[in-house]
Amino acid sequence: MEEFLEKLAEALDEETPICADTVLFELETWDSLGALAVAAMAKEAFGVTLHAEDIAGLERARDLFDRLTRGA
Amino acid sequence: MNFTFHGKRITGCLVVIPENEVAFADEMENYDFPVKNSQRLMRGIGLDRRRVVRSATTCASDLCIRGLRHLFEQGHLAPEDIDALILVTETPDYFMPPTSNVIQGALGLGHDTLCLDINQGCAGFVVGLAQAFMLLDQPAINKVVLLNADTLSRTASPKDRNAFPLLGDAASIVVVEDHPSRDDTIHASVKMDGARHQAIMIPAGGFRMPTSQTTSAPKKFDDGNSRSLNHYHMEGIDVLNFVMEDIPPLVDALLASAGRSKADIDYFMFHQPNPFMLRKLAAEMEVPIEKMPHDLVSIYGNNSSATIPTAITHHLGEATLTRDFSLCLSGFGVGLTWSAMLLRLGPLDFCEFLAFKE
Repeated sequence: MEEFLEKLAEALDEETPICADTVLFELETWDSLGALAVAAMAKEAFGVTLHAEDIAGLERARDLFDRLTRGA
Repeated sequence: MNFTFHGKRITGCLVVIPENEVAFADEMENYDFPVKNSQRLMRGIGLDRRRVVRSATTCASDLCIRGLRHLFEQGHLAPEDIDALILVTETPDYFMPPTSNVIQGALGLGHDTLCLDINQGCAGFVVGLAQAFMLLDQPAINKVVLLNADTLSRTASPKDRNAFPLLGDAASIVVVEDHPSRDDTIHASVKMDGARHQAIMIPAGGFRMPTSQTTSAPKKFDDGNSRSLNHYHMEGIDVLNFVMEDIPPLVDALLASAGRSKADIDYFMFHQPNPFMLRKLAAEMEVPIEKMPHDLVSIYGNNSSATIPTAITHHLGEATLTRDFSLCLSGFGVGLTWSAMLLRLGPLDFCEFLAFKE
């Protein structure tokens, strides 16, 4: 989880610390660029393909982690 | 579908670019997003300036005609030597007749000039080249002019920040000829998946969904962008996934079938969706980013199937007049269609830009 949170912060270029309970759409960087960056990170680091609707349906950082570790 | 070609070469390349330059920084107020957020997008994606036609009636064919006249005047090309004219475009003058016929008529080319329109976009340079090489196998065809031209800037909604600030206009004119003494083989591969055709499309305006008051009404989407069904639409994340999943294996398989490795390639001259995506693609392919020009969208915009000739002319330009380069080309986009080609390019008779004044 720690490693995932670091990768997420790096992908989003987010300065405020992200924890498992962080509400994603409250982050300033959770925008169209953020969605692209997260999709690219999912592919690179987890080999998972995320679609726009997958990303739109996420609430907290832990939901994204669950989605990525559950696999494609 | 894999192709091999023998005894063919590109002999010249002219890229016609509108003189009119616009900057994303000047348009940020037009979008329904905070300027600070647009500035973040500008840095992250690599948006900056782009070249677009000024007039709402300037067509891709106008750029082609201007460029071809320039080549005639410069003595780079003789009208009577053109055996076939291929136009790859998604922005034709009309549904009918073919725009290549319109160009032929405007230039007074002979009745034996074969004119073909191909409806392809970002993968269309390789598709057009493959078609040109196939035509050259005919004894009566010795010289083919391949036109890759679009005015995509006229297709997107000015309130759609996912598309409008990315798109530019251009026409490339590439001369392709038989060259029997050339012994190197050109390898190409083209793949298509119409099941994903909705990832990049203009939904209305054809015969499936004719334009109406309903299709013309702008709609604001949850992502903050507004567009109508008459506008260009791209599902950015689906396109990113497509590029990352389908391009690396396409290039790997083509290199393997040609018995070549990535180290043999001087430049990976790829379609230009944006610098962000090309950096990700280069990393995924383990290609040094210096070998993959990726900054064209920041200068010209994504000008559809003309991006590869634009990248070649911008980055190699005059160097192609005196030496040859081992290139891997790849295009990917609307269709979905993805294509790649391995070829030696140069020495060329000409490789330059022409500014299009309106």
